[in-house]
Amino acid sequence: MIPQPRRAVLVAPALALLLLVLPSTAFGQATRTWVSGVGDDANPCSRTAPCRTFAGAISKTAAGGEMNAIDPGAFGPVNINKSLTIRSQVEAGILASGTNGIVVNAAPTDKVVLDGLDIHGAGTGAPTSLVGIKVLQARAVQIRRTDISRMQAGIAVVPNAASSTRVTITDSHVYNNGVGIFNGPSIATSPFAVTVVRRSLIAENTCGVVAASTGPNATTPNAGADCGSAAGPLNQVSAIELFDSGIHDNDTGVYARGAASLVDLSENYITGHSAFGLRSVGGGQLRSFSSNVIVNNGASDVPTVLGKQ
Amino acid sequence: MRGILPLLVLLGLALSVAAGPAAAAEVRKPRAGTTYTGSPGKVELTVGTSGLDLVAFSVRCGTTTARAALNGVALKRTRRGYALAFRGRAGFTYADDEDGANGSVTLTGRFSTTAKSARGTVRVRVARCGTRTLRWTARQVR
Repeated sequence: MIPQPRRAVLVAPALALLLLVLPSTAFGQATRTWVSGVGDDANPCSRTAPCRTFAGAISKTAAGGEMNAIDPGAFGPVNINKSLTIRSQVEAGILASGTNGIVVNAAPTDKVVLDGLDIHGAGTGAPTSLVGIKVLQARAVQIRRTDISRMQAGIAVVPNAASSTRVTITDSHVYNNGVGIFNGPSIATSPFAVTVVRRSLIAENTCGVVAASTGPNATTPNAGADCGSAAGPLNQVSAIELFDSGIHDNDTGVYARGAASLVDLSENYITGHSAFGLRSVGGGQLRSFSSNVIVNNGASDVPTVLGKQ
Repeated sequence: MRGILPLLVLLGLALSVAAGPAAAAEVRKPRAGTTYTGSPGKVELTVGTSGLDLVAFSVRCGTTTARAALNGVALKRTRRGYALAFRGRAGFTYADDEDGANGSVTLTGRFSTTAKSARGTVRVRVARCGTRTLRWTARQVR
């Protein structure tokens, strides 16, 4: 009689196989995930079972994937550490209170897209929330159709790694913050940070647009007499290209601090600033490529005028 | 006797129906636009039209603190006051300006029946630290 193999001997390999398969199916990350005002972070973030928060959805989104909002709502602050798109055609809010809204701290090769967001700091009076979108490290960050208000800094591009960072802001509205847009490497080994602003409105901030090769001041870039910039000795390349935008009714419109900071201006309206329309400190360079309207400001430094190419 | 019993049952039902709304009316809903602050960790609750727009709080995290802001937390009416509950993930910002991280939050709470104050518990797990279940309280400020 042939001895029958024990049942456990037969079942064990099957169980092992099942365990090997399970992680890739049950805990896999999706290319596209969804959040909803009535979602739940325990869900898989699918279209039919959406998550409640961006922070919940990001852990279920594959690198290079996209997170979308199904319906209007506020989905909370999030830290991004990989290539990712957050895109919304409805009002997708982030309400902060004493925190950052979005922090991008990804690999030097990663690309991030933030499209259609509404980032707001809670409360009244002086803003107590930190930065709307803080970029620490990424190859490129695209910010589109995004409103940011009531933060100590609306957008802060402050790379803290030995890699270059490029941020593009289009069709956005940055208003009622301490500093509207701040660009300045925060460590000596960061080669350069470039921010391009196009078709955007930067209004009613203490300082509108700031390029600081000396980097940000302590904590976050927090507006004051120095527009959120440090005194030095840092002097890494900080460049802002400002095209086709409205910069108005800030205390100071455009501020460049440090010899390695550069702001290029073309076809902008820079008006209604109680202090300075344009301000250069410590050798900061301001270059105008014609067609800028710089009027009705308390004072304004004169940019170097270059012809249209 | 046989005729009185149904009458008594009817009377009981009528009384319970009449008393029901009166008892429920004692639970006041937190008014939209009001803010509550408290401790520990600068707890802040902002009431919106359909729930809590914001619940923000800080927790001790080693030598620093970690702060989170939860959005859109639903309120549920109970006999003991409006209750709130959140179980999910949130983006944390560290006070020492070290890079933030996403972590998990379990939050429960309840407003008093007069909606003048709220209290509850919170438990956090984030990259640099985790907490046990902490109690929080908050009072209406505006």
